[in-house]
Amino acid sequence: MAQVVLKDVNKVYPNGYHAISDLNLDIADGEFLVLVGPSGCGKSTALRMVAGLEEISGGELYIGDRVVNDVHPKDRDIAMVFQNYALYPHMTVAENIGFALKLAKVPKPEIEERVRKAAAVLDLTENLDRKPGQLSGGQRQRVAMGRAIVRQPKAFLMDEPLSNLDAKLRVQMRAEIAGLQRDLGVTTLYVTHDQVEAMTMGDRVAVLKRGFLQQVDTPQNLYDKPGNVFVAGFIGSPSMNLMKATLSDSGGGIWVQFGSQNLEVSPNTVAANPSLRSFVGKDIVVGIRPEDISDAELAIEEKPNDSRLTTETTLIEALGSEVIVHFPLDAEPFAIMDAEFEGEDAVEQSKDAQGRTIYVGRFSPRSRARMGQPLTIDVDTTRMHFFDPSTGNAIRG
Amino acid sequence: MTTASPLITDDDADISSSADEAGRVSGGKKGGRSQFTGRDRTVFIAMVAIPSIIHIAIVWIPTFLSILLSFTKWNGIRFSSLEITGVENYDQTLLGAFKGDTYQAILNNFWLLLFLFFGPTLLGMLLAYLLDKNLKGTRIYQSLFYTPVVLSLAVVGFIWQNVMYDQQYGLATVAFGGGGTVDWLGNQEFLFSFGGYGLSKNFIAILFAMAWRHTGYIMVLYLAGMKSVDAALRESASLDGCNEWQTFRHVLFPTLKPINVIVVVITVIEALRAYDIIAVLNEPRNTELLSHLTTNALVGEGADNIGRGSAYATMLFLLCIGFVLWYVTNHYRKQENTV
Repeated sequence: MAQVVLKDVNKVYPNGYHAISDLNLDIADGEFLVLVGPSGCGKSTALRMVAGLEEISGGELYIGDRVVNDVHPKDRDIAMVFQNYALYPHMTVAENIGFALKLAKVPKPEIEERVRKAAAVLDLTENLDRKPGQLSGGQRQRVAMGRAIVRQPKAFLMDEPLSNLDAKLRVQMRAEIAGLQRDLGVTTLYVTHDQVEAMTMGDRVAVLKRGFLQQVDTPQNLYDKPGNVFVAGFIGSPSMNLMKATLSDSGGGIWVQFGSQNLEVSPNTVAANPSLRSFVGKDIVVGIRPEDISDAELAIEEKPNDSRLTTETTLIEALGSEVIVHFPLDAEPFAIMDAEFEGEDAVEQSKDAQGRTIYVGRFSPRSRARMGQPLTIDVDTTRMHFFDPSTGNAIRG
Repeated sequence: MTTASPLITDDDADISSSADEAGRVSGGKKGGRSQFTGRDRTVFIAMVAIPSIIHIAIVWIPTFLSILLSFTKWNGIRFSSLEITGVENYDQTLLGAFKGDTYQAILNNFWLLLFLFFGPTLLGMLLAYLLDKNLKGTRIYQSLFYTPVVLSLAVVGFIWQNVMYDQQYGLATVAFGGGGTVDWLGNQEFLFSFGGYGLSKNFIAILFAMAWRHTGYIMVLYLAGMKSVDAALRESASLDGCNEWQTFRHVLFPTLKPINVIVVVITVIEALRAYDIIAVLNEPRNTELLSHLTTNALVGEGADNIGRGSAYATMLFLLCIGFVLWYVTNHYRKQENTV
């Protein structure tokens, strides 16, 4: 076991494409770090550089105390779980799991013992003599895990290992992998595009965008204090509502004005972030998470109008445990993806017939919001996020 | 939603009623194929029967007749000249006057098979492996190595006869002849021999010419196979601790099993049916193949006995069918065991 450190790591492809720019990551011994980002952000490239499957164009990679930039993958003592598992089709499950040990010339009885133990942990004992082609997707995934854990390597690298599983199995394996990693205490770098996986599994999560590291923090901190507008929009589902607004100073309070409506920023927020005052009279980006918006009809106590907005319901998605309500506001949206990014994640925000942008709230299922009916919403103004529109960075301190 | 649900029920009803119908029909008759209409069945029978009849008529009936002919003596022109001679043809070819030709031919077929396996097959595999590394100009090399495959073996024979093996100006003569002339294709000395049979030097020269063509063929097969192997398998192998050779030996080669099967079959077929290159180059002796003896006895100069040609053909047929039976039973048994 060992720490894995990336120091100013760069990846430039021969065609000039700069996939990773000055990536600094410090994965502590035994830590589970998730690398997350939209497709094409370079997260797999980063992982493959750690594995030694891609050359490092610049910077240094440490596994333990050793710089391993030029060390062959087989000598790095790391195990990787591939997206498609990459099981050897001609070998039985036992042979697949024990293959690395066989190559390392571990004595046969010991290989058998270790394979048996790994299989027991992964509930594969009955399938040891089968070939991968005879296994279900979930079982194959376990074999891939078994191949990694049997080696007791310095680090695990996992490249979207759950993306080929169906939704239910994914949830189950998510918990199993995280639990297994905790038990074994092996340093793990896990790559995914799924922010739910990232949030639920990682000790810390690193968000990557177009080869640039955006933020590394614990899942809760990423959610509560996104460092910039990209992280704010990427983490959380449904995504944070991001809108352009102006700040104004009126009656001692700070107000956010978008379109024809106002919200007063909670005095506590202003007190905690005095630099907000310097944006008075200027454009700003406001972020409100759908879960910080509620149906005003359900409010237990009468809230002041300064945290209330009126609109109408355009769409209701009932999920049983909650209701996702779509409503238009005449506030201009802030697109988190810049124009040059042509990824699939660059989703155009939908608009209604009057050109107002549709935003989303996450209501209690008790909400009586009806399609096409007027709607009044309460915004938790203590939990609003503010970003500088010119840099995209959070306004804090 | 309210409009959609009746549609679904309708669909369900449709499905269940047709399933009922199928159940009733199959309940009435034995066997599970009754969900097909009478017309379907006619089509199926026709699709199986017509190719089968054609196949039997143009493959198996002549084969069977050839075997019968091998027990006769016949000049092939008039049926009145046909004599039933029993095993005389086999006696002559295996024990009598023609036994020298026969055994040398069988041996040559064997050399050819051995050579194709250890020469062009390994070389083709190696070339495929190298080309699969995506070197610069891979496509050019690929085309160069593959080009000979589009030529018939007869053409290959002519090319090598004139370009490589010309006694004075041939490439091989200039390169290895030490300034003199070399009769590559005429030298029927044995490189080594036992009991009057062996591997003649001119046959070796022919083997090289055949290798030139066969290598490209094998290369393309393996290259296609290697391209279709999941790259992650090799990456996984290298992370598991494999070096280049171990990756090939333990991971790449075994996953190429379907290609190996094809290559074995193709090579055996090629070794048994090779004919044209010998026909083109075979002036001196010791390069005979069974196919060549067959044809010579049937239509060659002084061909007087179709029965003897048929006897050679029957021997070739037995070799082929023996291999095929052995291979098919072995291969399929293994497959059944693993799946």
